[in-house]
Amino acid sequence: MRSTPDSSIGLADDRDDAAGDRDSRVARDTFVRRTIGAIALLAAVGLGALLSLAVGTKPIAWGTVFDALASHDASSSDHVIVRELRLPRTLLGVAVGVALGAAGALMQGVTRNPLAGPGILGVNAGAAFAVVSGIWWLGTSNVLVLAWFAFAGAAVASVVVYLLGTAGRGGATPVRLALAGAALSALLGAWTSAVVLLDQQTLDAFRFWAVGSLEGRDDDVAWHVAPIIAVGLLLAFGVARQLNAVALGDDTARALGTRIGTTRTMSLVAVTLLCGGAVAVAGPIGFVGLVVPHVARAWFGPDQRWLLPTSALLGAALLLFCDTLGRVAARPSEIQVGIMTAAIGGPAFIILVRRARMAQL
Amino acid sequence: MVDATGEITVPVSSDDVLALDEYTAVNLLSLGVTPIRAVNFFQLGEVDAILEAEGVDVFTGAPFTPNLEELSQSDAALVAGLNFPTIVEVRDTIDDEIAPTVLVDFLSSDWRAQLDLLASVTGTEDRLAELEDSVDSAIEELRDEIAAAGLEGATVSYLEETSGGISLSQSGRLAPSILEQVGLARPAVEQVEGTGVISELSEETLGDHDADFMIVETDLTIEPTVNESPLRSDDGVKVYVYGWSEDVVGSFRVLADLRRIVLDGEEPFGPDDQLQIWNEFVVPR
Repeated sequence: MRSTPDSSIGLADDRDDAAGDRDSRVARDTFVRRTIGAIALLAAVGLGALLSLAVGTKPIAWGTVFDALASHDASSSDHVIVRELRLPRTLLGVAVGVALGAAGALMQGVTRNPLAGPGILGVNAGAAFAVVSGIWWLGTSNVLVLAWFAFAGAAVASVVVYLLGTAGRGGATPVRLALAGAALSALLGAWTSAVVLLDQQTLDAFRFWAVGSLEGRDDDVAWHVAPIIAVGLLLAFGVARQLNAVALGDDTARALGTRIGTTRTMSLVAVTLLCGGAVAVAGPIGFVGLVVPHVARAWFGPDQRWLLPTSALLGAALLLFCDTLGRVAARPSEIQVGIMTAAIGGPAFIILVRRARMAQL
Repeated sequence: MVDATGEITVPVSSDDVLALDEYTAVNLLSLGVTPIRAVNFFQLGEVDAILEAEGVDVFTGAPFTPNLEELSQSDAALVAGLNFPTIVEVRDTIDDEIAPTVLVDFLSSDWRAQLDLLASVTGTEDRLAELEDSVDSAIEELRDEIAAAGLEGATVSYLEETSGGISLSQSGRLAPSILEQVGLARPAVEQVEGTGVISELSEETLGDHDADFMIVETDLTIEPTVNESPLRSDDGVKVYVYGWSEDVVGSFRVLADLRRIVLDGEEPFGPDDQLQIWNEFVVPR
């Protein structure tokens, strides 16, 4: 049957309506899926925090844990363990996990590089070099002093990488930034090795910092870096929408009105604050920043407005579970969280690579 | 003769001995043998003052790395060292190119066995016997004084704190065995059989280590904090000690520190007092 022009228009309208319905159904399904995922992540962080408070080298009954939180008795060693050791450690675990997870997602987004991690800007190498220098010159092992050295080193390194990456014509591109980061990391790594090779005492102090740990950090340290990480998070969330445009390519992003230079600069400042703060208090903890964004992306998709906060939550949950596991895996000793994240993150990364989900940024 | 790497025959000589590390150099000095040269191999600085005072020519290279070119310039009749992995790797070359080499077990906690080997290759067995008698007499004397003061059975917690965290020496190591020999007891949680070290002890367990005397050995790489932990009881005496090493100098130092802490109520010797310990207790008279 031949259709009239009027009926063709009607059919096209029906097709448009059907496509519109399908799009809105997909959008609704995606929203529901993401909301469920986000709620699950919040629950995971809550559960991780609870376990971190209740489980440790010394077995403590759950009732005592709640008592310690509700009405602290300084004469009870169990209460002291919960309030003065586990509580600051749990809060620090959340802060560091949030920082590393968000920084990893940000780095992968801004460089459009699935292998990018917080270390790609030379942050870890800068922090390590500054810590080694602090130990060598000042002979200090004070956690708070080393934290500030680490943060200063991380900040200076990322500024140098940015200056190197933006030098010359064309400005900053993901490849130039990554190359500048790799070059500076290699240089700082060599200097760090030279210092620890020349001085045995520095090597002794440095090799344990370099593993990454949440143990032995008190409230003082946590309060010093909390504002730094908070500002980093605000900046990161602030550029999330622009990063979605950057993911489409520089030309498209410009056509959509995105100020690419500003977006990259804000992102790099955020990464520096997040990574610098995390490395300062816990040392260079590997794999969280690299693996977490990939896992989050597999569930929440590439939209940075979802990816950044959910990577932050997943980073916190992963770090809390790894740290708690490290406390009970080798009683009465402990295994540092940096070793646990590497032990879990390594296999997880291999699985991700085999499933080829990484390139879908 | 059997050294740490297997059977070996070396000429007995107390002259022209080259020490491959600073601790072997001090062991040789305690036997009355001044090495013609010593390598600053570990570079921890703990025995530098002794080597300097005794006029030992110390060569410093990269830590843990034997510099064969430098070593070959020493006109040694005998080379002595520890069986540290990087030394074992080049042991045959040193043997062939420089002089017969004897290596002492690096991980051994038995300083008498270590010195026994060095004494037999340097012909200083008499001096070793003298040293052993001296340590045994000091242990006996302290045990009697502790008993006379009514402190026999007093509890002493002994932990170590380094940049790697808190660790616990098992009962067969030097300091724990001296504590037992002088009549002091470690808390039940520290009475672990063996000659090794349990490292990375969780701070959460510190409350189980309460004792009359809470001794923490530390080094110069950190500012020690264990005794300041909120889990440490305020009822015991808390002190930090240095240099309780697994050798003859360490033996005398443990005894001297225990005397000060337990009997005299004084502070133990400090990190810079190594030479004083050496001169007062070890130097052949």
